[in-house]
Amino acid sequence: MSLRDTLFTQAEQKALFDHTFLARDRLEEQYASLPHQSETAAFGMWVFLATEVMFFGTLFVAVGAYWIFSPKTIERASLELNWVIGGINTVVLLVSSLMMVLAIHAAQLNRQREVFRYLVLTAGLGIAFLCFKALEYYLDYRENLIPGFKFDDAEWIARGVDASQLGYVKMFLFLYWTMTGFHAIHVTIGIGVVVVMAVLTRRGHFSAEYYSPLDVTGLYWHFVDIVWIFVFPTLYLLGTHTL
Amino acid sequence: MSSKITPANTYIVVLIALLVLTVLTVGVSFVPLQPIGHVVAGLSIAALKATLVVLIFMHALHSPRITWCVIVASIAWVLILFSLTYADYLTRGSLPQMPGH
Amino acid sequence: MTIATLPLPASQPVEPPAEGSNYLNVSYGVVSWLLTKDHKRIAILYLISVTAMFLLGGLAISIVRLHLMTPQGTLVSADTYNRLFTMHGVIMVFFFLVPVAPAVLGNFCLPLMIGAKDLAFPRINLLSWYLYVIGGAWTLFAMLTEGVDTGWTFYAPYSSQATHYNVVPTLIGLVLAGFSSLFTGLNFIVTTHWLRAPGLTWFRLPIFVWAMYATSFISLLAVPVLAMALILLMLERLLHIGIFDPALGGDPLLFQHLFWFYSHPAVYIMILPGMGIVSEVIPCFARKSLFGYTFVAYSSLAIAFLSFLVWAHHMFVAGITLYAALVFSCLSFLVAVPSAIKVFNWTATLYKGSIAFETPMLFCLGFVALFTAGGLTGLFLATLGVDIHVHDTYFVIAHFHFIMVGGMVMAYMGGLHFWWPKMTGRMYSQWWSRLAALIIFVGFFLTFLPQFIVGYNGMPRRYYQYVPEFQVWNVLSSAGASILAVGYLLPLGYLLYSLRYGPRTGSNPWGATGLEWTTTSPPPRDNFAVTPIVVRGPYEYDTGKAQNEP
Repeated sequence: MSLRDTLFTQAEQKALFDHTFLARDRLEEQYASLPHQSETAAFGMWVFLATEVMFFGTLFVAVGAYWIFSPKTIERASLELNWVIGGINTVVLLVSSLMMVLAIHAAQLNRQREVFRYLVLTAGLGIAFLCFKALEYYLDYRENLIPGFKFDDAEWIARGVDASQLGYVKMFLFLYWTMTGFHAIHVTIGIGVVVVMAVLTRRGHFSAEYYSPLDVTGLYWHFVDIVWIFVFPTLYLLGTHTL
Repeated sequence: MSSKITPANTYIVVLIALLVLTVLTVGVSFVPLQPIGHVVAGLSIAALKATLVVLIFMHALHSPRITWCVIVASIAWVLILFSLTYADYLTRGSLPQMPGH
Repeated sequence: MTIATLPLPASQPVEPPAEGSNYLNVSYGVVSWLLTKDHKRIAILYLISVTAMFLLGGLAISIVRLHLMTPQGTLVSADTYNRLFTMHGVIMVFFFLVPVAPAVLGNFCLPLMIGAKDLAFPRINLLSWYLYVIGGAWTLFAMLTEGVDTGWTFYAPYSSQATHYNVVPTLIGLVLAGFSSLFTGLNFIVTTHWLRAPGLTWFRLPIFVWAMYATSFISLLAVPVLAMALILLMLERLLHIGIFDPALGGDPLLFQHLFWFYSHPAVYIMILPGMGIVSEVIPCFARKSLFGYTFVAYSSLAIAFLSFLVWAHHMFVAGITLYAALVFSCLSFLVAVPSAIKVFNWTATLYKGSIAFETPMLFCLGFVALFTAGGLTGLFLATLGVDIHVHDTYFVIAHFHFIMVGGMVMAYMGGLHFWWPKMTGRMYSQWWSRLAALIIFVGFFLTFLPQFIVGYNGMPRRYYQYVPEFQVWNVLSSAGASILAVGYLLPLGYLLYSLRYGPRTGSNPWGATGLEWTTTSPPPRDNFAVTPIVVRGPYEYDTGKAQNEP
């Protein structure tokens, strides 16, 4: 038995090449019906997202702990982050979430071409997010916001941070890189999955009867959006901005 | 997945609401507040945005009750993580520490 | 849409399995095993890897116990000693106790007990095994080459700054193993909600299923926090930012909070399946329905919930505030209550039962006694005043070994002996198995009871030397360990022997009432020829009928 034979039934393999598979060939042995399988898959993704809440939540706890130690210092550190790009990225992800849910909507109505277009838009906006993020990271590099790598103590002392509190600035920035870094990894994975879904849609893989993988992808994508919704105020909006 | 299909207009209205809230949260950051004020404002608005995304974009409104339990449990548990950890952090400096050896 | 309202499929022709065809002989070859989607085969794969880990962890501590025969400790150097007990802890906690019951017995029995053909996500189940094996290999490689000397708790800043050993590779392996158990938990929760057979309501489920559910619940919510804590520790070690380093303004307690947020619930991940096993075995061999089924079911959930509220009782003397310590001490007393409820219910089940001392029953009775004793000593540790004196002594070590070895390992042995005929279709030697149970029980007492004594008298843990007054107890403990080793090696012998030479069993050698006993031993590839329809509760031993017999 080859790997392909084990992971996909004969019908599935045939379907990948001639676009004429039937939705009910997707039904696995342990399920009573396709709706049963689809509901279970969606529930499975919700449970996975609960674990992701705890995963990212840990980083928020860390940020909060250091904020409790020294709110003024953390506030000052937060002001140096680029809220403009952060804000743009928030908008980009929110719109991409709309694109994703409209893709699901189109799938429910069996509008295959629309599904494809919306999935491409979702992935495209995801890539835009990553591009803005890369730009932001580059600007952070230029502004010496990388503790342990490119950081200038004197700059921060000039900004009014006491020398004894510099450690907190570094920790806040470290947590900024970790939080946004993990989020970016999740966005990248999401883009990959959305692209695969788009390809499968193009090949006629889904229908109004069976679009469970799209549904599950959508849940994941929206979750990634929600993480950013919380990351943005937690990292970028802690202090009073001035224009 | 459900038998009800939400009209596309609902999604667009929700996006507009989310964008408005985003503008609001950025706007509030320009208001001179105590650090705690920014934290509370930022997280409250974020919670509102997240609620909209969960209920409408993620179809939680049309999902089975057990899905609601998963959502509530994840919120409850992350709150447990925060509250009991901060039971230590928030009382440092104001209360004596445990004797150690 | 709930599972009750989903449309049943139009009747599909069911092809009965060929005569004598079961999950073991339905296909041959290494590839058919390594790429299997069958939960039963994955359980066997886990059984092999988990047993290998157990033997390695046991080997490490055997060297430690040999070394501790003399107070001056001349067998190994201090450095090696530290690496040995770390290896023992890491392997036993993360690669044996956490996965063993869910991944071996849970994987095998859960779908059978609920009348399903497989778990909800069989490919993810296989992925879980690969994550476990790769994580295990990675961590073992790290520990067997240079080693790690931080203890299984990896406290910062020693683990992040001071030690020069292989911390990062070890932690990578642990994160992988963590995700393995997380995915298993996800599979179990989803399966229990969505794949129960018709008529199998929640309160007709065997307690083992409730226990697996509660275990999985804990896994899902606790593992991600550990994963992030270990990742932060790795980053800290690589980048030296100071997040856990007090010299740079960081807080070592932050690591401890995040670490124990997982690791305390983890000990309930380890024990809950054992309680589930005992709840199956005792009714069977007392021929009596489980007393207080509803209480036992709810207390499994209560344990899962309360386990998340007590983690800082591991940190009483680490520097947390008095307020936090009081809160956690109170909550720690509370968590003992549901466990006690279970013990009362098992005892009441035995009362006026028709008790047969088959091997699984011997192990499970041992569990009840030793778990109770160990659990009671937990109350001492939850008491702030006492904990100040006994924290980081052998008292703690004895406490958790009573629960984990006297409790969980015994329960696992009981479960393995109970379901072995179902898994393999063979019965083992009753004489040898009862002997093994007795040897394990005696060996256990001799090993761990002296540790309470030396711990109470102040012998610290994780030290490679001790004062000469404690030598007699240490020698007794080491002698007990050697007896325990014999006791654990015996099953390896007679169980493997039974695979080839043991008498073949029918579907229900013990006369038990669960759904898993209504199918053949070993079960066919798809578990049931016809999906069972459940009409009665799980432990109706007085009617003498299975759950799906009208």
